[in-house]
Amino acid sequence: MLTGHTLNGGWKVTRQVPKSPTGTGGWSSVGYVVESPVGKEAFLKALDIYGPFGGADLTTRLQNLMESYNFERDLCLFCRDRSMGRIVTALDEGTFMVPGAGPYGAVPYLIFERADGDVRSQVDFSQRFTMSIRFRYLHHVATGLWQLHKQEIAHQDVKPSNVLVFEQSQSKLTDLGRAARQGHTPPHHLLQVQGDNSYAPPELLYGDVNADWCVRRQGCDLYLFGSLVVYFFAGTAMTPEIIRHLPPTHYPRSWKGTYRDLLPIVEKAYGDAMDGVRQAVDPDLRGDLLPIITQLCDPDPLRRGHPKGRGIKGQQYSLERYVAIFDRLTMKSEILLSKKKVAP
Amino acid sequence: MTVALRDDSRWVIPRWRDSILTARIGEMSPLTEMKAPRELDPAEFEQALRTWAEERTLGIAFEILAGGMVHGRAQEARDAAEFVLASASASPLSKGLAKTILEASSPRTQMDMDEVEPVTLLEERVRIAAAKRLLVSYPNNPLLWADLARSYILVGQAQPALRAMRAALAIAPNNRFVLRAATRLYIHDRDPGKALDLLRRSPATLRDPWLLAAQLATSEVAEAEPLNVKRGMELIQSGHFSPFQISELASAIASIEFGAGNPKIGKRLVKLSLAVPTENAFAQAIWMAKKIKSISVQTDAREVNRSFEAQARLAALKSSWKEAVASCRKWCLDEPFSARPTGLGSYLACTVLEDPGMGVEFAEYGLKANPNNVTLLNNKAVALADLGRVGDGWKIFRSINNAKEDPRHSITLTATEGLFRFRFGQPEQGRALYRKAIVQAEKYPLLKGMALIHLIREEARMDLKAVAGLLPEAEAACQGVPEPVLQTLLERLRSLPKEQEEKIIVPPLPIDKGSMNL
Repeated sequence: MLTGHTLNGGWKVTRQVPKSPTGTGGWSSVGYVVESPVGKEAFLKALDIYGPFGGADLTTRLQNLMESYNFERDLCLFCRDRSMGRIVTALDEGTFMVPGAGPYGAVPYLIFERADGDVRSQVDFSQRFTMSIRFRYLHHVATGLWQLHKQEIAHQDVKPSNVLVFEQSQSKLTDLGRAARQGHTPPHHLLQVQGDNSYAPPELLYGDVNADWCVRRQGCDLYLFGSLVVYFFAGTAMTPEIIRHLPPTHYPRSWKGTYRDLLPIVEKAYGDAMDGVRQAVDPDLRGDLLPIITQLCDPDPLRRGHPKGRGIKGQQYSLERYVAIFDRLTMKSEILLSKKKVAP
Repeated sequence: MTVALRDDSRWVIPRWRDSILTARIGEMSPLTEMKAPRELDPAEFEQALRTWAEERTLGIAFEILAGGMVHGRAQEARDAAEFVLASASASPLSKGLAKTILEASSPRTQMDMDEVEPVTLLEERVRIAAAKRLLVSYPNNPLLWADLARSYILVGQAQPALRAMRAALAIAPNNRFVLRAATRLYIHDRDPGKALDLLRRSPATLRDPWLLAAQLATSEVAEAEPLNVKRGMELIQSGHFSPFQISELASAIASIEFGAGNPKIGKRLVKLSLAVPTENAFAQAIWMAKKIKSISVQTDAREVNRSFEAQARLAALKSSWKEAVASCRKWCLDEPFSARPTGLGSYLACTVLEDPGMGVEFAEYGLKANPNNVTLLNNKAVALADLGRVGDGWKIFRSINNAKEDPRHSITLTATEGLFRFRFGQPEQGRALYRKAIVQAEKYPLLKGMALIHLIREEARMDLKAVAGLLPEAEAACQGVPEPVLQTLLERLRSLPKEQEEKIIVPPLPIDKGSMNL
């Protein structure tokens, strides 16, 4: 629909791209590659009012779409204004009037930096996805989340497909469509799980919503980040690993009690899952990684976070320590890698 | 002589399986259920499925596996699971996830609840180590402590087991699983009073039918007044609980009502306990039906998960001995610390199956967690003697400590000593000991019949002509005893050849006087 058109700001739409396979997004969209007036490529995310988005009737549907679009747009612009370097921020936004389509041919859009892909394409456990790159990406993600948390925003949908990879081993977090901002009510606030269910922390899958925003939202981000560490180093995600160690009668759709009643069993299943993760992680890295995973993925959100931050107001869910840890691990692995290269 | 464990009383004492299996069976289901089911948005999973049709990559396949697991839609994730399993670059854990998806989506394992796996001592020790490791991270998880206690019991370490259970109780004194596990542990440790005290002190007992059932059953074991029967009836009649949740409570009260001479109420409660029974309530009903003829159990054993005890009892009632022993094996694996299944298994193997090797196997299995059990030690000694290892059997026999001087044990041990005297070539002494046991067993028809049958067996080893003279006495002693084993053994004695020259069923065993220490 937009291909060939030139948008405000001189962006030229060159081609349409396939939709992100599991992009949550928060609103139905169509992706395009656009070119800036200086020839730099970017990614355009255009609102698709014909896409599958909740609401039985047209007006509800349009309302949901607009609220979601506006929410993400405002958040992206907010992040851009705060110079969050590890968040894929909007380069531009606007509404394009499709010629000849009349007043209903308006297409709101957001333009983002264009990535080479997401980390899923790299996590094939091949040689090129070295330890140092994994640590570097995790450092970037931790930094991105920390940047968000400092502004009282929780991402809520950290997963491999939302970690975009750029040249020179740079990565950034994308997709703020399911984010939550303290003091604001996002359009998706009624959803039991804001992000992708397949990665969601167990307490949310079982409907245990803590009244404290930090426990509920930042605790969720910590879990998702820990699950990403598991994905990078053990090739799986924490949530399906925990569930597969539960009795089927206790799966999220089957359990009819409270999460607090279930927690001892989830913790046991988590222990079994961690046994598998321990086996899968490189023995040289276990000492560094297993405590991190344990702290981040604890099934009890009240126990999540760095031990030194527990019990201190505003510190329990702080990612600052993890930023430092992954920075150190990145440097350590890079030194080891360079020594290997130098060694005869 | 070989004997069964006492079976003149049975109560619905909680089973003690590991926490995950207990949860799978449904014994940890919440008392109050949420009215609305949890709604999980499947949009991402469905999007991944659509993408999978066009883009078959490992990344997408993994997303489908994860979604299939979380949404309980394993069937739709089968294709991706097969892809991951075939991929050389997939991680071992994602392959494990793929296997789980394939198993969950195959019709056989929608949930094969009756699976039992033998666990070696070494494996149990590995479990202990794993549980301890996990407890470093989760020192406040009561289930981990309770499971650790169970593992300790399985390797025969009672003191660490009791310590672990104390920790579980300190953390969760009102948790159903912990309280029921502790009940079973303290009964195993021959301290039912302590179990009863725990249950009576917990405020949860009066509102949880699972706990109240345990409390009533434990009262009987502890020979204490069963309190809260009325409260139990209120819970049953409240309509707040599913038939499965009140099954054991109904069964426990039924036993009390029968004991109090109220068969009408008892029968009604047995019927209620069998509406959707736990395997424990089912086994209790079969046990009661053997004692009280008016109770009829129509439940199909195949429909009750892990009903190994019930199946063993039913098969034994029908004299299907091989089937009974096979069920005993499963029962052993399901409740490895319990002496009952191994007691029954060793008894049937050594008597009706004439397989002393299997008898030794059963007895040794049970002795791991019950090293001082008189019946198991006795049966092992007899089985070893039957295997020709008379000296080894004698050593075991001499090690038995009947400290409580239970008259039944005394009778059994006297008869078994008689057996050894026969085997050591001292028939006069053997005969005298058997006779002593038979006189002592006047009040215990089953033991009397068994002692006579064993005496005939020993006499037949030396001279088959002696059988005819003793058989009427044995037949008279066994008359009216509701024990199919006795009838089967009697039938075999009747069919023995009349003359010495004819075929002897049991070959003579080597005499091993040297090891006797009289």
